[in-house]
Amino acid sequence: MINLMKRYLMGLLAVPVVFGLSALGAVQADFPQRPLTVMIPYTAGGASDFQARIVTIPAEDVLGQPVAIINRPGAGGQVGWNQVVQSFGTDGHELAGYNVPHFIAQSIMHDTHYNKDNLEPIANWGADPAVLIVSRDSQFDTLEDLVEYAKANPGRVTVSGAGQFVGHHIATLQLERAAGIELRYVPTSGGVDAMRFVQGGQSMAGFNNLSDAYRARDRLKILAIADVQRDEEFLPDVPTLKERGFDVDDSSVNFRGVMAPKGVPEDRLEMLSEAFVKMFNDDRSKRRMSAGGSPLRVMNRAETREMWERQQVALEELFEGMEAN
Amino acid sequence: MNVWAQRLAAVTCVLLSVGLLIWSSPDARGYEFPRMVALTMVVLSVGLAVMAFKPGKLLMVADIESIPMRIIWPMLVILLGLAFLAPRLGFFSTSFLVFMATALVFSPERFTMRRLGIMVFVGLCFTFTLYLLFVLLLNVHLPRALLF
Amino acid sequence: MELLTYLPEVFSGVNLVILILGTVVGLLLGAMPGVSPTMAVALLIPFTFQMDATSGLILLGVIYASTVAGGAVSAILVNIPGAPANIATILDGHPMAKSGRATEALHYCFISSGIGGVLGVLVLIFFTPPLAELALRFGPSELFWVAILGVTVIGSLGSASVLKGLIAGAFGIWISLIGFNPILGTERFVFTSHLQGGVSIVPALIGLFAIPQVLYMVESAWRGQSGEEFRMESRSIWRSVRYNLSRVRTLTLGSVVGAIVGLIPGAGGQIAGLLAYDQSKKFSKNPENYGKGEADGVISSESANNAMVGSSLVPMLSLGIPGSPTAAVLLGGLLIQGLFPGPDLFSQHGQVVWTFLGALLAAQILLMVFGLYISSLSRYVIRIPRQYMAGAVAVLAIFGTYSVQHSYSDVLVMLVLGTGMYFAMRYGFGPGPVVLGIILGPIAEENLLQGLIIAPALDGPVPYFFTGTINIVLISLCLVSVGYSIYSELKIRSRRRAAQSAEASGK
Repeated sequence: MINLMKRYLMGLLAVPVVFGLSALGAVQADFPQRPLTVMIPYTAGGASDFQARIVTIPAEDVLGQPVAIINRPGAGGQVGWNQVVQSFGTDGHELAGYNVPHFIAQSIMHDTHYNKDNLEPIANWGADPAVLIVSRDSQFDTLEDLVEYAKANPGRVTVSGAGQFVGHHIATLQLERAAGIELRYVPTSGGVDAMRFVQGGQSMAGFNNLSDAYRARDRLKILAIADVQRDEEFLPDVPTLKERGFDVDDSSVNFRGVMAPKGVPEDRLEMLSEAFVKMFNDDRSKRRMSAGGSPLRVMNRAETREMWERQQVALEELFEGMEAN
Repeated sequence: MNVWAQRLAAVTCVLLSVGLLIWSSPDARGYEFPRMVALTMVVLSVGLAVMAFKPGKLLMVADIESIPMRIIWPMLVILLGLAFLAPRLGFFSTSFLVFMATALVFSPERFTMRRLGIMVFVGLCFTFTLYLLFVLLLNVHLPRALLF
Repeated sequence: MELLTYLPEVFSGVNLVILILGTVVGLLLGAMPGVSPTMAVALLIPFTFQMDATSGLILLGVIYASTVAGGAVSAILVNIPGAPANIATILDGHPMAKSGRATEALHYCFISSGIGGVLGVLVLIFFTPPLAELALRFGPSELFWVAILGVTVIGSLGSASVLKGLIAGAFGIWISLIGFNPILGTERFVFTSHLQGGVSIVPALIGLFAIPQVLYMVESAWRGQSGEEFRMESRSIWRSVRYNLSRVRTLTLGSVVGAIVGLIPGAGGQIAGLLAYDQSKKFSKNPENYGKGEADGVISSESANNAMVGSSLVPMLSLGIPGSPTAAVLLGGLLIQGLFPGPDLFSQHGQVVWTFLGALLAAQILLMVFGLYISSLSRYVIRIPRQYMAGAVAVLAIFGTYSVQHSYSDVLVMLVLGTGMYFAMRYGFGPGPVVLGIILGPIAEENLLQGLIIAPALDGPVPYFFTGTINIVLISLCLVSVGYSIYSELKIRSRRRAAQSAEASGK
């Protein structure tokens, strides 16, 4: 019996001894002293994920440390972004990707822990407008066909998109208001699924990312683009909603970039912003982004902050009087 | 004995599922499916309870084993310690401790210094393999903590 | 035939090295409890940045195939599935091992994996265009019925009491709904911030199987059974090959079910093994042997798993729609290399794609060869004293869980679920139905809700969910499956009762 006790004790003794050591505290050194992580709140293989992986390839040359992409998907990004403000360290090593309008819209409509004020933008790499798509063999050939049909059959046109209160949803709402029609929005768990719904005929139409639609362009008809100007690089023939007489602005454009939780020292934010802008402008990332039909739009900290503020105002106006369910 | 254990299991199921059903029924949207699932679970659990409390010969299969708490409680403590220490001490040092603690507590052989030496050696090899695998090969970013 | 043109490319220089190393590393990783295929592929993506597109893809594809096959080793020897795909392998693989037939079980597992895998890749090579069209036809209503079909498998999952299996399954479905409503995006049941990410499949799988096993191991170590729980017999590979090939029906059934399930978009691939196991049990002459060490159980489950690998790439390569979570990660690897799925992929990047397909085919054969070799080495794993094994499994469970999403909350969820499962297991509830519930719950809910949104735009919910060829086929399958389960359960019971009364009258 004594032997038995001894063995339990031996096993457990080690625990408090080593735990005592943990009070000694950590040491500070130059920044960045270890690899950075960028958390993407969407699944691996999605557009946000693979673009983030592409634009951070030059990290080792620019920062001296690699950047690792971590995926923490769930609830259209809410799971990951909540964790940014709740559990991320503020030493500048733990960063996250953002999608505007998604996170701003969610912070307005849902009870989220994050909002534009407790997050710090670092740099923006891309702007992916929403485009209106139908499948190759759809009865609609033009935007007008679709609007006319929707007018005659209110609530019968289903439109798929990557989730609730993401760019695609906002574009749908804007089109409904501008054209005076009633559409039926079908939220899916991501851009890939939303695209599947359109291709498989589960939904009659869909709003999706320009980049994804561009790559699938031979299996789709791209009817319109929800931006203030045409995309001259990838889809020069696709009209904007605005030029066809529907007053839809660029609130639904999906901006992607990198941010940090509030509390990271100012000098580190500046340094990171500079480094990330350099990374995003690197030839290697540019070439790969362009091959995938992903429009680049590089913005530094100040420009990104301004874009956030602008979107906040536009979205608050759009959601005025809407219920979050 | 078996009858009472079955009854205990059935009552626990009923209570758990009713609890889940209540939790899934707030006055808000978005709970429809959880409510359906919880309701199904209540029905199934009541079925189990009816079988367990039916007078006469028990129709249930003998599928209940007793829980050797006397033996396993140190392992539960070790797991708890692991959960608590890993993010604070570092994954590798905690792993080493857990490995050692398990081996020390549950060795059927008598304790000798030579055995301890072997354990430390095996533990170190194991921890090093973990390092090779997760940090060098798979590039996992483990949380920063005091020790390794 | 393009495949033959590019075959030399597969076996040249770097590619050959990657192929062989990838297979061996993948098998070993997969064999480790706690390391899942999705995690292995995701973590190896950064490696492919430095490689050219062909080699990078070969690495990811080979790792995918070999980790799925390797997962059966820990399933058979330690009773912990390496991936959701291997749950069905446990049901008969571990009982086989315990009765001294571990080598035999491992042989069947790798031979069937190889055969199923080759068939899956052949499906991918020859039937991609028509099957991709079929995959696209699975919308919300069809996927909802797929999830329901998955639930009907619970009866075969090895709980002594079917009712307890169903309760465990319902509980699994319920906990998978913790977190956020998938359509509205509203939070629910999150009483601690650790649950915000919900209960994801891999952490749950690791916890529910590995932690109870750790506790069982320390118990047997304490009782003085420190050494091997069972011995591994020596058995000639040829004997196993002969027997395995004689099970043509089981092999075909497993591979076909695996290939079909792999096509279905989303998480379908994860239930391939279970559906195949269930079918094979239902078609079997002696279903009561299943769960007690029936070789056909291992053969059907493993041939289905690897057949699923090839066919889950069908919709991915041609449409960019992954057929399994691991295929989704692989898709990311493809996009980063500037290869975009679609018909163009084959015409513009023929060299890359055909070399990749050739390598996948070669990998299936290689993993069979290396797997059979590893089977004979496994006896050393068995000899590890239980107390060391328990510690190692506990630690690997933590590392494996953390590495999936770099989330410590997942680790805590894993530990809590696992400890709870240990106690529930002692009361006759199995971990299999719980994991199945966790896999199927989100699929069922999301597709049901999406279907209910779409239906009013068509003819209403009833016609939407109950008409259409695929819906009707799936509903009939569900009904047949349930009906047959009840019928065979009654048959086994009456047979058992007859045996008991015969015994009683004999006394």
